[in-house]
Amino acid sequence: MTLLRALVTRKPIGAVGAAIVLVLLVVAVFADRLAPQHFNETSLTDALQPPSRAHWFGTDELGRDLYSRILYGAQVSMTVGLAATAVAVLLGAAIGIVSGYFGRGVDLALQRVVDAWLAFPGLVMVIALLVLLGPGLGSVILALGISQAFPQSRIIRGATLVVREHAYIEASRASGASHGRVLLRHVLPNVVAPIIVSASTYVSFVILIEAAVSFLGYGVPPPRPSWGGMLSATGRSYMVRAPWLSVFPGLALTLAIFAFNVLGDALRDLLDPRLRAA
Amino acid sequence: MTRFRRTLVAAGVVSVAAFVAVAPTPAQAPKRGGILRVAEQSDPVGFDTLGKKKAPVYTQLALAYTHNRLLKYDPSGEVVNDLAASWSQPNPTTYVVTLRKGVHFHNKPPVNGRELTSEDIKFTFERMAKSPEARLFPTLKAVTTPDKYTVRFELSAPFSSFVANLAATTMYVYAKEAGKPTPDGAGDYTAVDTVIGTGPFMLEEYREKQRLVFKRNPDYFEAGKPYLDGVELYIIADNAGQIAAMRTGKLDLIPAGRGEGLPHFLVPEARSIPGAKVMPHRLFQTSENLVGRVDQKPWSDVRVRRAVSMSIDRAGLAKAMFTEGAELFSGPIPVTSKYFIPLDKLGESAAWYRYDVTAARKLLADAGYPNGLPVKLTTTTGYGPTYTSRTELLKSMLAKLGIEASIVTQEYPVWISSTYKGNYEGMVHIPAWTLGDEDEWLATFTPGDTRNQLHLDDPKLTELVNLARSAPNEAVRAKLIGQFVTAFHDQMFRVYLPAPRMVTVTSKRVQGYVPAVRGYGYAIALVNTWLE
Amino acid sequence: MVPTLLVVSVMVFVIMRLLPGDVVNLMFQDLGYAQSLAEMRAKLGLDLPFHQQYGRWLAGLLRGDLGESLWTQRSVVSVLAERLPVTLELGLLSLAFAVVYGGVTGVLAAISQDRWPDMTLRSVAMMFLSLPSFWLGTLAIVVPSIWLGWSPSLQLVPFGASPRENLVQFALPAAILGSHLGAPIMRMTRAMMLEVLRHDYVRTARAKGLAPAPVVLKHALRNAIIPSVTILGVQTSQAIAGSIVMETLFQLPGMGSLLVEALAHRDFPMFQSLVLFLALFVMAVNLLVDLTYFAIDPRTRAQAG
Repeated sequence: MTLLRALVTRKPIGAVGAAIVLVLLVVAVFADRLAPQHFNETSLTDALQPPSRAHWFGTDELGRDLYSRILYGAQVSMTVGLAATAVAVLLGAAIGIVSGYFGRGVDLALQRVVDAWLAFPGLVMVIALLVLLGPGLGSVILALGISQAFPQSRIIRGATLVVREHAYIEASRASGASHGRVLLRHVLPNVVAPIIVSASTYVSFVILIEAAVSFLGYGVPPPRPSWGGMLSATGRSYMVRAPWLSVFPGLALTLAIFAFNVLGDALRDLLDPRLRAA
Repeated sequence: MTRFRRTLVAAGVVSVAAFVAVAPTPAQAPKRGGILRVAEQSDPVGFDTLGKKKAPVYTQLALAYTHNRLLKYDPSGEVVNDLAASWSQPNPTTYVVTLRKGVHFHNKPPVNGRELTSEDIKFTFERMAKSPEARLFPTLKAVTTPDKYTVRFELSAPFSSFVANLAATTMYVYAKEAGKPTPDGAGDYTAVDTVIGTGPFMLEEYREKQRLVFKRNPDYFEAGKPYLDGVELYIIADNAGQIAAMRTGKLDLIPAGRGEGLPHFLVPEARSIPGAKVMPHRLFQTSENLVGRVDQKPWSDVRVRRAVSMSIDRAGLAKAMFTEGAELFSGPIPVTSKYFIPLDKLGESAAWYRYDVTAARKLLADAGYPNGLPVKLTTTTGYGPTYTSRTELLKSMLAKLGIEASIVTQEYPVWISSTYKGNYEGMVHIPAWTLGDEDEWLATFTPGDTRNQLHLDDPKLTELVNLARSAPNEAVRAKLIGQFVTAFHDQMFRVYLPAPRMVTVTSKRVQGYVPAVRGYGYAIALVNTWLE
Repeated sequence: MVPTLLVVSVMVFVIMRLLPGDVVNLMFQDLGYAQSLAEMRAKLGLDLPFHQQYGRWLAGLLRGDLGESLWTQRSVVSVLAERLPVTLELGLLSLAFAVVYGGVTGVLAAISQDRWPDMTLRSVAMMFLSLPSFWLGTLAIVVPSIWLGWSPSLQLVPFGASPRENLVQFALPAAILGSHLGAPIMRMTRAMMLEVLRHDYVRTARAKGLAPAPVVLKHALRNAIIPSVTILGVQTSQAIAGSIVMETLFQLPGMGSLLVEALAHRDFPMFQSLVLFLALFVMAVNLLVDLTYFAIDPRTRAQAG
């Protein structure tokens, strides 16, 4: 609650971001109620209509209502964004905490793998994973999640290292507490803050990467509309003939990324202990 | 000025005007000179059409500039002479070709402009036999060279497509010394410096992903041609980018040589370019189709196949997506084939091409699916976004029939390795092909053919194909192919979608360009093209 | 660095072999008879057991022989040499744009902290960061062709041939990429500047009546560079990822578009060598950053010394 109040009073832009995120979540969950038409309701006689009262955002080359498709696209972008980030956080936390807590050999080995993974050029790992896992929403989530897990693990490892130095860890171990107990009661609560901070920015990053891989031809397959897919595929070809086909998905993407970005920034400013101390 | 003088002047002006209006304008004579700029969507992969792997499309397109075949197709699709001066068929299993005299290879080392002889033809056919193109001449027994300008082909059995296949866009004539030596003697013609042919243009430069530069072959055997000093072929992957380049004066020709051509929704943009000529034309090609495995449910039931065909609103699809025109009714052989049977001559089978969802639902119910059925529909990203968009359209059309199609989108390498070879379940949205002669189209429906994705093994149909292949004359061949086509439509093995017209666009500088019906060799039209 | 590279090489090798579909099928498409496929695989060395293929490749690497592209049969080294200058130029121009853009806006934002110029600059930076680069790129290509009658040059103009045309060609993708890379630079520059402004010597200078401007400027410059250098390693990685998209969109024949092509063709030697090369490059940059940071930041030197 105090976080929320702090957000609104001290970081108004962040609050706006949070509000937009909330709206996107609502749209994503209730897309089928809110959308005037189903996303694959084709109507060849209405193809490529500009925005009008009947179709607020116009229609695409198969006569499907673009406004409806944008709403359903929110479903995909939000699902991918949140789910992939969750995967990234869980996997990243697992790697980071284990690496930071146990140290020595385990740390060395794990960090070599993390180094190697991070050395891969950005999108390449995502695309390779996508091809490996085959087409589908689940693959996109997994591929994006796994690829983001490694940078995430670095941050969490750092936080774990800090925590590990604390005396009460030694004391706890000395008094016979198991590793698991120590991890759960002492380490985890102290790394939650950095996780929240980075997670929020990661969501925007994931949404952007999903759009980028769709652009390159590897994203969420049809008929599910994804904003990135709408932008890349037909949007580009129809840019002159029907610019609304790329303007609206582009705006939607920008809005979502912007919202998560400013929210993440605001959370970082509020939760970063160094800044709080200053 | 006095009144008299004014009248004189007026009369003078009127006379001059009259003279100019009445005097005949000189016919447009071809002008020599200039560089034509063409766009293509992808690079050639090596420059060998008779190598060890399938001849890539863009390689075939490139060689049309620099090489010749024995025979070629004229713009209307008739087989005419290229390197051959004449040919004859003394008996059903022998063909004799007489070569043009005085044809020279490009003046580049190591060939250095020497004359073409029958030995080059023999060598080319030896290469062909060691390549996937061997399927074009299945009964070829021997190629002999009685003299310098004569080639004799002996077949083990009659083959009705022989002459047409001499004009195949992979059967370019190679000079033995131009290739890099290989153990089997066929030579490697992948590299740029091996591109030495007898064609109207010489390959001067190739920059990967950028462009190919051709310049006029001064010793080309058609005197005075080509008119163009050269051609620059730019690799522009994106159709919209090609139009943008033409709009800003950087491009002269957007050809429709291969399958896709310019999407129709871009044509209005092309028309808005001042002076541009937009030429819709047909291509010797079938159309995209829906197909399944005839040895598995549900595609094994002819009622299902017919039902699917009747649920496709071909007219609506064509009107919405193919604004420059389309053939609503396609089939197993191209619409432009002389053996094509139009819908009104099809008889009873024409019923299956009506758009009638109610009747289709009834058929489906008769087949045992009163409540429809779920089916996998495989497609790929490899043919561009407009292709997958049509897959989505098919899904929604099938939904009205009660078929719940779940789209599986495969990446192209995966598609080529599995679905395209017949390794799939359910239905597939598969593109049109540009194959060679009718025989090749028909062959794809015989067991053992690598393109038989529908797993069709019908002894009667296979028999028809074989008989047509070895038909002794045109009349017999036409009858047999006609029987095949009629049976095919009745059985609806593939549900063909409308075949769109292809669209070629030229800038206002370009004169004399006639788009070809046989696409892959469009470059030969450039021999007769000139620039204003 | 070497052990990490080794792990990278194993990873990329394994991943490529796990991917469905192979180059031989792409070569033969629908004309692939079993025998020809087998022959081609043998010719390309693809029928050997995996560890042998890996061994061969590694041995070649150590000799400096990166092999031949499976798809075009051209030597990998020559293709990389062709593509490198394009990506290098795109990357350098993008980073230069990012540093200038981030540095200048960061300083300005810090000076007018929390007042409207600061808010505006930060919002604009955030906006640019949120715009998908390929969307911006598509708009940037299409709009000028309609309204200004201008479209990008049909082919790459090397810098040597015509510096002006070359820079025009790269300006757009570099600016778009740079606006993404510049945002974190701006943020860090702003934060560093705020610290500088709070420092005693600034206040002292003010108290003495000296104009703070020269002092600010001198420290501003030093402190603007430090954040840029710090994140240079990450930025290089991001620049490479960004170049994949930009090169594909603007049809620049660089290493980014080569990655996509090599993957689509399952061109093992090309893809593997490229990934290794890029990984090596990023690691080298990181090393350079660490050394430079050590040299220029007095605090780290003080800590060590």
